[in-house]
Amino acid sequence: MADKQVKLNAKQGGPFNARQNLIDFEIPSGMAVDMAKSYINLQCHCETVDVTAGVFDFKLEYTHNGAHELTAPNTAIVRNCSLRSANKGMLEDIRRSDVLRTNLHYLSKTTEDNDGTLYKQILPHKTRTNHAQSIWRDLKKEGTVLSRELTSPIQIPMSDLFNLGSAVVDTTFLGDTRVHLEISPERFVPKQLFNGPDSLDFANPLFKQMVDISGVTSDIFTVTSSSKYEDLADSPFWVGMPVTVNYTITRAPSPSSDVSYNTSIREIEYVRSDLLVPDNEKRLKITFENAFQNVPEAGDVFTDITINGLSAEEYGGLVFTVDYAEIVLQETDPVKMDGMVFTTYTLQETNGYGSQNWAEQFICEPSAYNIMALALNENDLLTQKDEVKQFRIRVNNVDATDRDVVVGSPLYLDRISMYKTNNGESLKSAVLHTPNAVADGQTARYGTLPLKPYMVNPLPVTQGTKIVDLNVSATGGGVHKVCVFKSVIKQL
Amino acid sequence: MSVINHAVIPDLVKPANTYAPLDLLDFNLNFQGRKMLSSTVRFQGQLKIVGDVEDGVLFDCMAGAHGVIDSITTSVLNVGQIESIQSYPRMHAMVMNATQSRNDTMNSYNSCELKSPSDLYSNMILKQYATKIADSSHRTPADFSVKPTFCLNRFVAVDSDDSSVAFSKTGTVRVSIQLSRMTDMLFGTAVSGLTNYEIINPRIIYQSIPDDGKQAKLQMRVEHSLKTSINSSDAVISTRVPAVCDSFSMSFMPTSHESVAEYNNLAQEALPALTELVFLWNNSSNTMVTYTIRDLVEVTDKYVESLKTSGHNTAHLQMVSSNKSFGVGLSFGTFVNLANQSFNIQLACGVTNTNPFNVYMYFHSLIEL
Repeated sequence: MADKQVKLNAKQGGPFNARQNLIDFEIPSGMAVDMAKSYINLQCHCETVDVTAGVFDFKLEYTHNGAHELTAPNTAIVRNCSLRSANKGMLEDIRRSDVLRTNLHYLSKTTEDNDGTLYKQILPHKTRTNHAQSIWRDLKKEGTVLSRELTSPIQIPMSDLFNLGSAVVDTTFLGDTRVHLEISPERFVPKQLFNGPDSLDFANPLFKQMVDISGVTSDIFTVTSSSKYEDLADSPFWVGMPVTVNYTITRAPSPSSDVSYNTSIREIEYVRSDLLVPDNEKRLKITFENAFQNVPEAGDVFTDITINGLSAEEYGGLVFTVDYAEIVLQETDPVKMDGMVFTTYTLQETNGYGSQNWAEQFICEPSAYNIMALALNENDLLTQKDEVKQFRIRVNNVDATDRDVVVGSPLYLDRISMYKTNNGESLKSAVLHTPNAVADGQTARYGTLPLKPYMVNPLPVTQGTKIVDLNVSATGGGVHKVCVFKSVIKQL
Repeated sequence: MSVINHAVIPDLVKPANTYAPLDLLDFNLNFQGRKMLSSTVRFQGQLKIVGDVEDGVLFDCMAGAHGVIDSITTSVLNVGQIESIQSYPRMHAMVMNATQSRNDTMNSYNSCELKSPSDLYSNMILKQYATKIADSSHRTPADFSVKPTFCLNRFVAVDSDDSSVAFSKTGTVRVSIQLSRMTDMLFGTAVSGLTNYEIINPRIIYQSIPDDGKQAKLQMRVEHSLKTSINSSDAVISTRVPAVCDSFSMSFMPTSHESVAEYNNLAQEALPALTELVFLWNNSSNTMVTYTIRDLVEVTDKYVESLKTSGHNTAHLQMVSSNKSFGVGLSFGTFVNLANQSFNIQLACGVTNTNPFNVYMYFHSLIEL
């Protein structure tokens, strides 16, 4: 029979938050685990304080020193992580795993690869439909089945945490093996979508408009959209959506009056064909839980009918909770691990304190074979320092390049490619931008959040420690926080 | 090595080489003294819409011209039937949705199969260039050349790099293609009883090399398709497939949407309110996936993995919620003989007896030739 998948719960019960943010898993001895097919689930849910209101859609927003429009892989929630075994001690101890893995992610994935995981990303970008949606919602675009709030996992592949996360690990050799995570859930803040009349989440404000109604003498539950949707995926509405309905009623001889009331959507019909009224085809017929506030009389005309999303604040707001954590392990055939060579990262954090001509010396381990310095901006996650214009790396007093490496130049791209190749990987994407979470079009999505600089260079493996000098020329505000990751070789 | 390109027309040639929905096209592939090369078989022809092509006449953009093939059966004279895939275009659309993105459909190997990024684009393909003649239009039919996802395109040599099969081993190879009914291929607001399609000049092409007298052992991927239905919120699908399989995939559609012109017959609709999914082997859950799957992320993960995802897919949430790319599947990780054990799938969902769902299952198998 085939390999087996098992789930193990974390040592801590949860829920997890900024103060209770340590998670440990213990993989018992006697297991051979294919780490490449194993992952960690942080099971989360998001609900309104008053759960009777309906299903509000939301997205997570990366928030640190203010909200940011960036997207990032799920592993960005893990600040530090380590892998320790009973028999072999510390295997990997990666500080600022979020910075390391997020910035490497966009060198290792094409835009299509990245889009291929949209169904499980916690910080997704918009798609062609211009709607972002979270994995904690099962939204029904048509029919009468109510949309649902889901408990869904933040899925973090082991390969996005550890270099051994791509290997087969045999705990018969290693002994009990502990996976330790320190997470930063406070940086992922829920933001409601379609939040009130000022919301910009409708791809087009005209999507809110409904067709005028006249000649009706019974309670009005159903309205018809002015927009014709060629594709149901473009519809911004879902069954169970809490909404505010606005309309103007004209009842002669009284003057027109504006009416507004709150309700939720009970049913959506996407009119695929209508032989009697062909003009209705591709429109949405939206039925509410509660009828219009005015009982129609002959001669009444209802105009300016619009639907806006309702603010969850009226029901106490949204609460996002990391409920519990579990690890899913793929068991496989045992392997020989004695003498196995693997790589990992070490980190040296430093700060340029705004210097425009910044130089610093780093002592690197003998087995270090790659170095990567990332200059962080206020989001404390991405290498996004447009001020850095050029840099130069010197190894044991020998220049690695015959001239300064100008950020964005062919020599710069060459260094990045060398870095990846020396890591045994290929440079899969030179887009060097992180997708913008709110941008509507493809050009804006990949044109507003540049990832630079990657100050990288291969290093020779040496008998003793080596000295690496980094000289950076910057403009404006200069260099501040810098994370220097060194790739090192280890042997079991 | 001299490669020869072969072209085969159907056994039964209809007037004007024009074929209508539900026609059966039998192709006999004879390559005496030669060896057929793997992965070279293509089905070609022209797709013509009968009547005027209005805006609302569409076909599934991810299946493209594969949509005209309702079923494809392959028989080999010396062995017998080796594969019969029912609901073939649905399987192909599932593979496409799980392994390629919408942008990938613009690659030339997909364009010649009439695939496109959007169903609306398929309408433009059907329209082609039109020359106005009086009050009507003369339209050039759309040429297509599809590479069917079937056994003759999916065999490899085990102990050699010569992935070809000799005629002396197979004898005549018979490929039978049943054309889809109109409502299974076309959909949209403008599709009516007057709408139809025709396939003109259908043929199968393939390549061969001279027989050198050596025949490597061949492994051939084949599909076993099953169609069933579920009509309760606690559904158990029990299967026993006479094959050695390494994965299975299935997709769903409300029975009321089947072969209805308004709905895409290849839509991979989301199961309403799916809350639990359990895979049972011989009615026991202590093998393979040992726990109950409760989140849609893992359901989708296992589904795209069962179709050998390359990292590209269309399974983002808007597509799932608008019923375009949802499915359930499992990669077994190794080959499992399903002939001598039962494999059950338990689903807890919002399906009711008033709104039953069709289930289309495909078991991905391997045979030796």
